Amino acid sequence: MIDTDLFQNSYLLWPVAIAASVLWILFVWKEWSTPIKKRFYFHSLISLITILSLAMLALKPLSKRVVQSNAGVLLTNGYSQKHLDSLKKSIKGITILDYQENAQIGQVLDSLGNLFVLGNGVASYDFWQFENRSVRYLGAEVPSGIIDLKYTQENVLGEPLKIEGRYHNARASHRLVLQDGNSQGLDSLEFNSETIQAFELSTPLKAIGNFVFQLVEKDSLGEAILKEPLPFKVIDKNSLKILLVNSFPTFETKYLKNYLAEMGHEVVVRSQLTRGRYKFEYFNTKRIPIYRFGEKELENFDLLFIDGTSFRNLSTRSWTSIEKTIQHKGMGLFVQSEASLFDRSSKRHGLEFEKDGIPKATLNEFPKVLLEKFTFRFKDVDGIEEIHTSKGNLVTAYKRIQQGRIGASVIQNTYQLQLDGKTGIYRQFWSEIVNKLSKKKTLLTDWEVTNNFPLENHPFQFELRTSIEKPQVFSTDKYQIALRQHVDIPSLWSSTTYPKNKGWNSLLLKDKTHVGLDFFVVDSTTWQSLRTKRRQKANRRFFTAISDSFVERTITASIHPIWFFLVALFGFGYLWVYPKVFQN
Amino acid sequence: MSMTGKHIVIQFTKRWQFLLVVEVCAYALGFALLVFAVSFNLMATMCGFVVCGLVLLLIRKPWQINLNKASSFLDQSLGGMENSTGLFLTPKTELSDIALLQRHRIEERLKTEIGKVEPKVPLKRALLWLLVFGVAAFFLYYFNLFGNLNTSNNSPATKEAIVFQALDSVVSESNPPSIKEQRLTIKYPAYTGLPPKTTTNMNIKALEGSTIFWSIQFDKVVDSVFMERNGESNSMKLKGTKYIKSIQLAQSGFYNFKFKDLGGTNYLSDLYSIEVVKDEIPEIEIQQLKQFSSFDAKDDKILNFNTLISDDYGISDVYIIATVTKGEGESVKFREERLSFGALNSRSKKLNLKKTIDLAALKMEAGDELYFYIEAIDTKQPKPNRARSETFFAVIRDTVSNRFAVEGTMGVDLMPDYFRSQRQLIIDTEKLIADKNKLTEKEFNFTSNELGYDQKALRLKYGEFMGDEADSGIQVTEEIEPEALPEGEQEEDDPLGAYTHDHDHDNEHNLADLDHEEEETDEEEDPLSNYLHNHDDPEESTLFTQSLKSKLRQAMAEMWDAELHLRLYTPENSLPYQYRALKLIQEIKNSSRIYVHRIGFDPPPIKEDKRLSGEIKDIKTLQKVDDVVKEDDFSAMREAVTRITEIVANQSKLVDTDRGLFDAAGNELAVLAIKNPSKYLNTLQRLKWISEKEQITVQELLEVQSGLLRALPTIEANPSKRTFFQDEMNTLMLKELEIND
Repeated sequence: MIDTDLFQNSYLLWPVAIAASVLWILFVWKEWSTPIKKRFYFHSLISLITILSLAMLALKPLSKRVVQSNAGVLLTNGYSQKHLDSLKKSIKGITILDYQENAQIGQVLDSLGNLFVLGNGVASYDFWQFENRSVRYLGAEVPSGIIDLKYTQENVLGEPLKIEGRYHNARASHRLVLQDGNSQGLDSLEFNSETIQAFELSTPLKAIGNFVFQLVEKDSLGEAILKEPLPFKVIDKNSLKILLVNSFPTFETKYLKNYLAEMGHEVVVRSQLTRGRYKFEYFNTKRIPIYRFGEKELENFDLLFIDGTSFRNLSTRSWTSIEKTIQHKGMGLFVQSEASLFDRSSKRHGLEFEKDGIPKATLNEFPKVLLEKFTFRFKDVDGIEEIHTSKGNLVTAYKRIQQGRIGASVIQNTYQLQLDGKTGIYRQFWSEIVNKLSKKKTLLTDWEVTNNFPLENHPFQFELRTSIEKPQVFSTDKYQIALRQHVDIPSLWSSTTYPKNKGWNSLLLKDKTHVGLDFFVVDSTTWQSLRTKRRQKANRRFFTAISDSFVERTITASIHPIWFFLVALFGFGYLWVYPKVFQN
Repeated sequence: MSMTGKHIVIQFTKRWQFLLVVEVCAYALGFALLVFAVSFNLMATMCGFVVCGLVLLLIRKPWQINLNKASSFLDQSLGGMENSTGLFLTPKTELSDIALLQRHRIEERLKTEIGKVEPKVPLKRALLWLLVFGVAAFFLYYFNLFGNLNTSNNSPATKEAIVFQALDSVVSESNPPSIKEQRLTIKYPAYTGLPPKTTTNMNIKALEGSTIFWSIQFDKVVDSVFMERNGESNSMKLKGTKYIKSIQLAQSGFYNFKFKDLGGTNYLSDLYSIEVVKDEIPEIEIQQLKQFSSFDAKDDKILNFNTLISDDYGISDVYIIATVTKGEGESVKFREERLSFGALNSRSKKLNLKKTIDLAALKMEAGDELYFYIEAIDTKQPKPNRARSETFFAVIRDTVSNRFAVEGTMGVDLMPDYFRSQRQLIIDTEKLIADKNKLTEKEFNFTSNELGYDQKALRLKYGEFMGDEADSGIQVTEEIEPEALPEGEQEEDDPLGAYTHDHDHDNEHNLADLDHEEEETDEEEDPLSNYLHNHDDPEESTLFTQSLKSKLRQAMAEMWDAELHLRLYTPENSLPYQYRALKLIQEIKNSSRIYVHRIGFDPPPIKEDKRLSGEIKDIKTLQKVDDVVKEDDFSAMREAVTRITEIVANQSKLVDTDRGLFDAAGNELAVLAIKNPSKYLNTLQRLKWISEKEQITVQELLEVQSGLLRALPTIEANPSKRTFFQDEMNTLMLKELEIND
């Protein structure tokens, strides 16, 4: 059977074949019946060719061809003319296509063998049209402007907002300014003449809420050239519940408890007076004495400070309870250092030390401050995580034990900082330790967004991890958004929404007690360089993944009908002229 | 080239015109100078010049001086012209022969005589007036006679007038009530003696305790008027047609007016500042007096000095508080006296007082010390300011007491005895010199040499103090025969034994079985460790001990020389060195007072077995509950910022609670604004506005937010409970990690 793939109009094959056969039989009969049979066979052949050509005109046969000759180039925004010209030169007859977002181009692409994409690339929501095709992304120049940006969109009150990024093609003497909502400068830097410049700006956060600051590029005259919105959220602090256990009162504990209590945390201090007698101090909390360390007593505490002596003297039972609380409830434990702590490695805390003989330390965060320390340092073993380092040596570190953490420091007499008037450094030092070690509040939901700057009416994809069984998500205007559950991970859900309004939008869960997601929808005129760079990156990643199929393959194409027409014309012409000229 | 008569006449005309213009300019310039001196305004000066010039030009009319006028003037003023200068003005062709002849004759005469005639212009008078004006202007300018007129010229109505804005922009009446009269009277406290001040400027800067009266009058009847200050709103009393209010100034701050018209619309004014100036404390400056003065017993013990005292509103009293100390150590006695400066010119702002203090009149004797300072009190009421000068010292030196100063101040004599031997040596040397004639040469030389040896022994002993090797030379203590040593040195080997407790340093001894006799046996190794600074200890290496050390070295050097001369049998030459050594040693002795304070209590050791064995039944577990959260002074400001973010994000409207919040934030900000008005006043004003106004734009809110953020202090580092998402996968992962660890 004839392969139907041979003809474009293969559905006409049988009718055409029958008609052609009939026509040819008629012709042969007519030729036979004429008196001159001089060239009977020759004429039959000619007529066969002519009739076949006619049939071909109708059937449109296909031929296999190498794609090279049928390559296309898709021009997207920002393509370079030079690039296109050189492409045109090397591939003759290349088809040029203009890219339009969200337009169907599948059919056009079908006709092309290889496709080159020039420029910034196609939108990520158009990628599906290029799947399983041989496409090579040739890219475009890196855009001028901010091409990388890193900052946390959700910050805790009191911590600084840090913005890091890279700027491409900055002009010297131009300045990059971080401005607040009212265009008041908060931090700035001046560019030099390097091509790619890393920048870092920061400002302290002083109030909670959803803010929109701006990143502004100003020329040497102070005129704003570029204004990009910088949305971020500041959330409130949560106070902690901390237990300090000492076998005798120390200055370190005295200052530490004062600091923590002053900052509004619930602090319980237990110092031993003598056998079985304690001094309990309760700051900002109710009076509940702790005589023994049971799981029940400890479960409400976020962090336990214990001095070396008390730690060593803990009964096995107490230690088991503490350990269990750390493992299962996520409580933190900080063992206050004293010389005996380092001499023998304890299986209890699992932290390992080694002697370094250096009595002073300067932390990386505060290079000008000299701190007293024990002549030990942490052994940098697997599982140990740093809090403070001094010239590459770990001086404060912790270890995870399932949900919780156990930490210690070789720095001693930090209260000296307060006495020296360096209260800020003292507070930062302990605040870092407490932040790292203390129990974390578990959330039932976790939102993840890939695009920091979603556009109005453009797809905004998000992922939701939650232990809620059937989460229901609603948009700002109360529409429910359908979620798709992950095949293998039942707690992972994803979806896409199309925000309608610029500015702050939010996604809420049906149960309002769970944390929703606030996101800021920007104007398409903002963050262009960043978006371009990201699009280029996404295109490169996507097309690299599929460009393995970019081989010189052949495809079938219909043969141009002019050839059949000419053959038929000549055939008819000859058959018509011959009897007239050679009859006599 | 000879000029024709016509030319001469033309030239004369031009000259006349020019002089007229110069005259006009001189007058105009003089006038302009006067204008400048009065107005200090260049524009006004130019106008004055132009106007005066134009007026004078119109009077003088220099353009009316033409050839005919000039020629007739020449005819009149020059005798020989025979009324013929007019001939120059008619063309030659039109003249008859005789006329031509006459013209020629006159032309010659005119050429010679034209120099004698001047156009009739009172130029000198004009220049004189210019001079008079100039001098007058200079004086006016120099003494600024019109200065006040000038400043008050700046239309107070436009600058200082209270401007009200309607809070409800919808109901903007076409002709809202406005201020007709505003007056602010500051009545200073009576003690300042200042007259009350009345002004239209509503920003107040006045002395603490002043009373402020406001009086404002509207051009229309209004419903009620309030003055808002420090978050309080007080209504102003209507008295006649004026609204009045008075307060006594106690603290700085801001205030504004608010009124309600008959239509019920509220109007708010700008913020005005109240700056309270504190009465300065008097300043005291003492001249021609050193902080320390010392007198010898024989001197005239008189202190003479000059005191300059100044205060911003007047000084009410000045006196000297003098304290005389007698005796030393535990037996010291104090006597306080108040010395006056004599009659004061009361309430004067500046005083220059001379005072002479005669120490003898204070019944001071040798060894007594006087401490005094000057106290000044100003006129402030109810509680006057007091100022104290620094303290001055005067001492009558007591040469005798110096030698035994150490003994006098301490319960025990801590100085080792060898220190006395230098004095003994001097006595012996002096005795030797006195006995020179009685002694044989050999005896004399022998004694001299012996003394030299003693001197060496002494020096070596001092060397021990300095940390020099004790056995570098002779073992002094062993070699000296007890007889050869002066009295003071005849004591046992350990001069300190009597004052030390061995168990202070030796924990092996048990407190229970104290055995003094056993302990007092020896303490040879370092007899001075208790009394000397250990220079290896960085804590003790003070500047003071450094100088002590160098003094000791110096003393030893002197001893070297003294010994040298004794050994050379020239005790006379040795004496000066000995004296110097003695003086140095005495100084060292006196500085040893400082040790007294450094020797602390050294508690006896506790027996190990007695530790922690006490009864604990009375010791109770202690429980202490405390709430010590540090209040945030700016919580309302922070909340206001947060609220603004919400309003901006949701494009919602202000509700009543917001206004309360903004008010509270305003009060918090006012505290900052008082200290730094240039930075925060603007924000405070805007905050006031948004807390009162009906319709607020997003931009206004953002401005306030920005200002508040700027004013808010940075939050101190404070740990916080972090959040994290936990699901089965995480938990499993952590468990796996733990197992494989």
